[in-house]
Amino acid sequence: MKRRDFFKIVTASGAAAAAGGCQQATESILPLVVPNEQIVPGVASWFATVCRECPAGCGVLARNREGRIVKLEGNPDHPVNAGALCLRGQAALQGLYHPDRIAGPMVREGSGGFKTATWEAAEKLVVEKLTALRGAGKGRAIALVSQLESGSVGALLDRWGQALGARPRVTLEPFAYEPIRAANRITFNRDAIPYYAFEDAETILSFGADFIETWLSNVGYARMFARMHSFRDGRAGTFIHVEPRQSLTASNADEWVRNVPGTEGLLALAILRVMVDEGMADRRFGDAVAGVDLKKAAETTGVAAETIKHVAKAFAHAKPGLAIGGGVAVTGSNATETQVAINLLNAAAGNVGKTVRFGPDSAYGKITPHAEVAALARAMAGGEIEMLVLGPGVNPAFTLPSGLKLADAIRKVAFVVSFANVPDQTSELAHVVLPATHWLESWGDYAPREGVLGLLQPTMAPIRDSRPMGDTLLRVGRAALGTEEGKGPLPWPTVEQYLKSAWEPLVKGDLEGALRRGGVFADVATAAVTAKIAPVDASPAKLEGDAAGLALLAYPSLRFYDGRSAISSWLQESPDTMTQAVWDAWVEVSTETAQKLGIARGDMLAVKSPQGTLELPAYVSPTLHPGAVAIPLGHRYTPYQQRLQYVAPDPRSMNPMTILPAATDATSGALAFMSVKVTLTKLGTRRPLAVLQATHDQDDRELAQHVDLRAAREQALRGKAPHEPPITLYADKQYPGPRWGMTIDVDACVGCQACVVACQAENNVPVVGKASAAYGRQLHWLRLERWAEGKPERPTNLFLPMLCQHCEVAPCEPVCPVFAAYRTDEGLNGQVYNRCVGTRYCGNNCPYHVRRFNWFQYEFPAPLEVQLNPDVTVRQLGVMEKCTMCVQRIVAGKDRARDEKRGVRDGDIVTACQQTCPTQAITFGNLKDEGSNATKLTHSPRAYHVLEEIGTRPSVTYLRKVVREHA
Amino acid sequence: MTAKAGVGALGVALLAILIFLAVSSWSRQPAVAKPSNQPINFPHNVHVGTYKIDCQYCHSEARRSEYAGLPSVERCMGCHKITGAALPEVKKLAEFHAKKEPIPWVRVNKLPEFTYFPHKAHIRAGLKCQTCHGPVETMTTYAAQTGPRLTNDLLNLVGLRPAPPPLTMGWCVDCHRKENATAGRHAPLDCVTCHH
Repeated sequence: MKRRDFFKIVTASGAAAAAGGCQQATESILPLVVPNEQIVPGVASWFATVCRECPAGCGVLARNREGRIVKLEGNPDHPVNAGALCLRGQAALQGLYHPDRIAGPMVREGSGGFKTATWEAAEKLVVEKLTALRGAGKGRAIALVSQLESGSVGALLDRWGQALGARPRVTLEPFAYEPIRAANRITFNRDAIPYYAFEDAETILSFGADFIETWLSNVGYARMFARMHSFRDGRAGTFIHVEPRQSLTASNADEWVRNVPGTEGLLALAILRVMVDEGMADRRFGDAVAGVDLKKAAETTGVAAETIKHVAKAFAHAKPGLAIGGGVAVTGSNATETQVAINLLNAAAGNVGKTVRFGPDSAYGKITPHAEVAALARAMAGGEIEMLVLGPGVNPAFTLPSGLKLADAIRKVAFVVSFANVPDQTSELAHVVLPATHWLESWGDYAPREGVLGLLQPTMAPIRDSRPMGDTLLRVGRAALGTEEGKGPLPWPTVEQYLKSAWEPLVKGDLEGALRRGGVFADVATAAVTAKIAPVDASPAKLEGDAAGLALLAYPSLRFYDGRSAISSWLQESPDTMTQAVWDAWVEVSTETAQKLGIARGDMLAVKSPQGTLELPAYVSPTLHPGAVAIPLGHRYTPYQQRLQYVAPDPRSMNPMTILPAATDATSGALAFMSVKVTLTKLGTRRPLAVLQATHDQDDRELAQHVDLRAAREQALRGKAPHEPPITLYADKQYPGPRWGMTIDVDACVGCQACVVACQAENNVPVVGKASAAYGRQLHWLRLERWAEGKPERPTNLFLPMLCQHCEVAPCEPVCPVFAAYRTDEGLNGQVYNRCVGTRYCGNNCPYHVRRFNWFQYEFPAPLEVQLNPDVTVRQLGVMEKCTMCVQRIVAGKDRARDEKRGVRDGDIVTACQQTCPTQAITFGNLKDEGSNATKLTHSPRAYHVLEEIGTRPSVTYLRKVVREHA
Repeated sequence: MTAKAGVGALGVALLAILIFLAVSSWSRQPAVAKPSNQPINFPHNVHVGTYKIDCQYCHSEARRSEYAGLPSVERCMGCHKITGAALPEVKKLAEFHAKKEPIPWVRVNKLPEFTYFPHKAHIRAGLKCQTCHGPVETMTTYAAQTGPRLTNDLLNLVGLRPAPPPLTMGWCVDCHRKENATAGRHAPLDCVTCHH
């Protein structure tokens, strides 16, 4: 008997014995009772709406499969984001399906805890309170606080407040850019935040404005920045950034100028001085800078006079240029003066009306001034407020400086109603929680700027027992007023009805069309303004606290904004690009300070301000100004993130708001984030950070390459120098059909991490938690490497999105004992999960380190499993996985082309990372089609392959970053 | 008994136990529906055989989706409001419709979850449903012999070809190869076409 036959017989007989006892559970499949025209099981429907994760108001298309949203993408028709989305927008689904989402109405019990209640019972409590207050003539004791609502929903909330005689509504946004408004009032006599036309500028001079992270509209401006800055046909704009810290935005600058914190205004005036002195600006502007001395300014700002001079030249010679200001260092006590100085720069260079356009004004200009927020806090603390209504998305107990003592003030309010749908620090103080629907489940509208009216529609049915805030307010409002539906000041039965009536004059019967496009978009003409030239106070920002201390830069986080996005585990695990740290918060300490105090990365530090102490692990940074420490805002964990042991429980706060005083900018009254000096003490304990990139030094491996602007121009003109591919013994591979490939423009990549989160959302990539991530067991298919070149304190940063290179001669393939890794006929490096036995040889043999192993059976806690993409297998324990170039989208694209009886064209297949990229750095296409964009880019003189010398022949081509001569 | 034979016997015993464990944890396919399992005893033979109703009249998603789909309760009632309204099984249907409840059909065909099988592409290629699902027009209860079931897998393993259609991967690939060779089609053979 042959060995093989023996096995066959043993197997068959053993199996036959077992077969009798083999019973599996049955599964039922349910048909629809009444067919729904919009839903075909297995085919996605798309709904247009507006992202409400921050006030930028990007257009979103939500992909609905069998009634549930599985992916968000930018709306290509929306003028703000044109199809792109940032990582917070991508991760909004984690808020929608958050495991801690409030299941239904809750009412505070006498014992202090919450108990669940019916909507009727909970609303009755609210109605009773409203009626009692109105009866007693104390309407003014009712306060309504919401996030920024710039459309007709805001008008409805105001109407509700007026009908009940409440205080004027407060829109609460911690990042309100009030100094820009105040400065525009002073210089241009216009209380507005204009549209900055990055795309038309030749040179951008930014004073701390972190437009790639959070400033005003990070997707929109990053998109326009790429149009202005990235290299094409020999043209490329220049970007100069002034900031004490090398933020992600600063690291994208051609020249980063590190200044003493709080001296941006003086620096702007010094630049203006040079422009006036050297005849680059009208003499009239001399009045504004009469008292500014270049030498003194250089001393105070810590920026060399030479640098100031050449920045002035670069800025003044641009036709046109653009100066902008923002970020944490421009929110000190002199914030308005700084912005006035920046306005004067724009006026002197003739940029106003060209790149600074009033007319299409930003919605940020409608945020309630901080002075009124502070007044409300005082009124609450003084017992004047008896009922506080908090809309979803506002969390003042967490997102405002503890110096304002808002949590204490809210505790003084007798009756607090919260519409939060995930518990937060403020909803914990509420008496009644009436969970509002998530914005993806709601009707609404939002106008991010004049002329752009976005429309929100429910993209799926609420997943929890929640109701739209507007519906609830209308109902309780009517009950308190004693009016009926259709009558009185609040006649509409629902927000939907209200919205449809409010939009009727705009859409003139075609609401359907507006819903399909995502709103109504029009261009608004630029309004003419004239600048008033007056002397500006150039004194640096005043800081409280120990005079010998370090200026605290509490900066808005790209990942969490003010903290509202910290509920997302995807975002917690997407690395901060500059530090590559995940999960934890940290205090960034300069090398000088670290040496003085003997601090190493991961050492716990006590950061002490007059307001309190914060204990955080240290991250030593060679780039930070020695006079400053920096802490990202908004870090917090939600209960489920700790319950699942993504992080070890630690009750200590991670948010620098807890040590900020209630300081303001003197002129505008705006909240000052840079207002205090802190002292550092080593605690002697350690909390190591999970940093996903071991080194930022390329060690001459030339993974991320760059080319001089002059050389790039020459190459663009004359073509690439002849380049010999490495000698090989392998024959060229033949492709009967298409060959898929990708190009990534390192020059365009700004390191925003949107692609990383988009990939995670599309491909069912699980979250592993801090400890596993620190072991290098994160499962991201796409990572964003930061490589620093040059001097450590002033590096040139290169961002390299690294994913499976789909090598033609792939080192992973021959080592797989079960042929799970193999080469497809279309040039992909396939990974067959059901074959994989988990030897991990492929991962070890991959020179790009892009293969990921499932060390555990990772959980998708309910209801997060609803988000899983049904087109992608959920991998299990012991399986190796990696980037598939979104093969499910390739299959779908080919299917669509076949339906139309044609071949696949450019644009049929768009990978998830490419789709969301604000700067369009990623291009996917058929490399055998000479006309495809991807092929054209692979012929660029800037094209190269990472680790070309090892002969893997990748299908991913990178384009070198173009660096400016003076950088 | 020699020591050598003892070791051999122990080896065989261990092997048998291992195989038993492996086989008893088999879980590729939910149990096959028997007539009593289905909430309504739906006779395919009457609908397809006698009345010659097109498969896609009821399974209308097959031409546009990955799934073939089930008829909505409304669609069943489209005919059965009048036709056969007095039959006991149709009365059950009417009851579901009156309660506005979906019919909890027991799933018969299920490919493993790591397999992407689009009905649409196969309909577009002009395949008959019967090629994969068997002679549905003769079945009183659709169930029985189809699916990547244990017996089919075992028959494959020992080199015997199970009765068609077994819906195993080897059987899928055989058909794709044959069609490409004889009919000049371009049926994909890439693993990642179905496994992604």
